[in-house]
Amino acid sequence: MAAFPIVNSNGDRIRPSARSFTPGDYPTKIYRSLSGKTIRRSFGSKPTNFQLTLGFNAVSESTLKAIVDHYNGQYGSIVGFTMPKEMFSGLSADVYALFQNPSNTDWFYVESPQIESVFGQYSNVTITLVADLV
Amino acid sequence: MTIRIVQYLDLTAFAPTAAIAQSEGKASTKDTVVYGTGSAFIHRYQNYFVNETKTRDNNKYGFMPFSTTGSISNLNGDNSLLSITFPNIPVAMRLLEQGNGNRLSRLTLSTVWLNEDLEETTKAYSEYYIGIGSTVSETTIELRFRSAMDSVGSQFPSRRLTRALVGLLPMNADLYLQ
Repeated sequence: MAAFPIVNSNGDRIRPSARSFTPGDYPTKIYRSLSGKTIRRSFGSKPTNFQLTLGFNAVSESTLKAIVDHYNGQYGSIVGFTMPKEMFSGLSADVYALFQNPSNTDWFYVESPQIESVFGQYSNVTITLVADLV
Repeated sequence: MTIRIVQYLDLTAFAPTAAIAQSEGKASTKDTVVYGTGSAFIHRYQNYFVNETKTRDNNKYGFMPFSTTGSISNLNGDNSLLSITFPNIPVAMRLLEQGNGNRLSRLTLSTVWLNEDLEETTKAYSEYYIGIGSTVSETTIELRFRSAMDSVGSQFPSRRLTRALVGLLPMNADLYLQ
């Protein structure tokens, strides 16, 4: 399990310039009757399906390659991995502890990295991740 | 209103021979898989407390994300059908192989209601089944069961054709009671 890279091959730091996070939810099914009465059936004791989107703006080819290499190293969405705390910089320890590596979960790529060329060798890269119970 | 239910699966799988069971036993390292007597293996799992091992009646139940569908009841109360779906992971495949494709297995399925603190309440019931086969796909393993109970009908006990009655089975329909 290879953690998400925090430096590229040149030793430059890899840090997101945009970040969005959705906390996990608990496996539930809702039965909604015609009268409007609802019955909720809980199927598990722990939250799952945490979502994280990271944007890396105007990154060099070395950083782009590090991200794509990591994606390929995880065989796309097959192998789970951990997120380093550097991806949550700006948040206090109490808060990023909730997001970084939720208990009993691994992070997985939802899709391949989205790459947008902006100027010369610089690109915007967006990755979308989900943390599922393992 | 919220329903919280944990199901405890207690599956005794009988390997074709004791030797196979002992060989398989070396591969079964989980403490919720217990080598019974003879060729029997007992697998104990629960499906609610993720990555936790729960103790119930002095037995340990590991977490396994299985789901149940069924059972189908009829007026006579016999032959209820139940299927349990497992992910196609090695431990589930081993469970299947030890039970000879789930044709030699016995299941006790206990359903227990939980309160808001996820503690067991007194509401619980157990069902008893025997294995009748399985279906394997690339992602799931489905074990099929039916209740062991046979209803009282006009022929009681039900007549069954056995080799003890007719000897070796012929290739045609000529059967003679011996």
